[in-house]
Amino acid sequence: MQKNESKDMMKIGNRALATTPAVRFISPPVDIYEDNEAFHVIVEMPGVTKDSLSLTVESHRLSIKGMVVTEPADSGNPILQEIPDRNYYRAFNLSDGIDSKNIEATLEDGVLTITLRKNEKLQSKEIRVK
Amino acid sequence: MYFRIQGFPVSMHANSSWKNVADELNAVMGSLVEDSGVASTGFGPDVNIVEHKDKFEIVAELPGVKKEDLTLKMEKGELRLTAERKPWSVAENSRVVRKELRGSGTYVRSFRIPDEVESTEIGAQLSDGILRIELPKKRVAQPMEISVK
Repeated sequence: MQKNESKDMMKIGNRALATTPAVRFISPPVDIYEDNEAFHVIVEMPGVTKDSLSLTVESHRLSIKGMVVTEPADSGNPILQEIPDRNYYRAFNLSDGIDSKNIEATLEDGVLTITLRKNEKLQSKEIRVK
Repeated sequence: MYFRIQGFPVSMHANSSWKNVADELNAVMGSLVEDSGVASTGFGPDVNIVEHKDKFEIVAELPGVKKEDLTLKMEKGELRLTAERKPWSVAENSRVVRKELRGSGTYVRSFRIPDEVESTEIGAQLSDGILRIELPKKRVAQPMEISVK
C-alpha cells in the first residue's frame, strides 16, 4: 500500500518537472456587467478546461486560476509563436454586498462566465411615492 | 470532433506580424507568403505554427467561438479561417463596469499552404477556445533513413 503511494508521488513529481518550467501566469482579460440582481464577470481563458480551472472564495477574495495544458516545447520545430506558454490567474475582492455562498460559474469554449449575486443590501429598490 | 477541410493544404501568411516572419517561412516552408489583405475585415487570431517530422500544426486562439460559427476554406493553395464571435447575452438594463475583451466580431486569417502538405488529409479540431489544424506532409516530403548495406 505504502509502496503504491510513493510510486504515485514520483509520478506527480516527474510530471510537475516536465510541464512547469517557466510557464508564467498572465492576467486574463475580463468584462464585467452589472444589473440589479448580480454582477456578471466574463473571462477569456482559451485552452483552459473544467478540470484545469479552479475558482475559490476566501475571505471575500475570488480567485480564478486556469492551467493551460500544452505539449512540451521540444516536440517539433516552432515556426511562429504568437501565443506564449501561459497559465491564467486573476483575483477580485468581493464587497459585503455579494452573496458569496451563491456564486455560479460556467466554462464554455474557453470563456468563463461568473455570476455574482447581490444580497439585499446591494440591490436597488424602488421607493413608492405616495 | 475532427472534421475535414475541403480542398487541399497550407503554406502560410496573414496580417501584420506575418510580414516579419515571411522570410523565415519562405525558408522553412519553401513557398510564398503573401499578404491577403484581410486585416481590414476583421481581427486576426493569435496563432502558433509548429513543424513536426510528419506534419505541420497550426494552433489558433478562438475563445467564445462555436464549431458552427467557424469555416475553414481551401482555395488556390490558401487556407482561410473565418470565425464569428457572437455577442454574449447581457441583460438590457445592465451597466458596463469593466470592458477589456475585444467583443464580438469576425476573426479572419489566411495561410498559404506549401506543396509538401497532403491536401486531402488536413484535419481540424476545436475545443476549449483553441483550434488545432493538422497538415500532414506527403510521404515523399518526410525525412527517411536509408539503410546502408
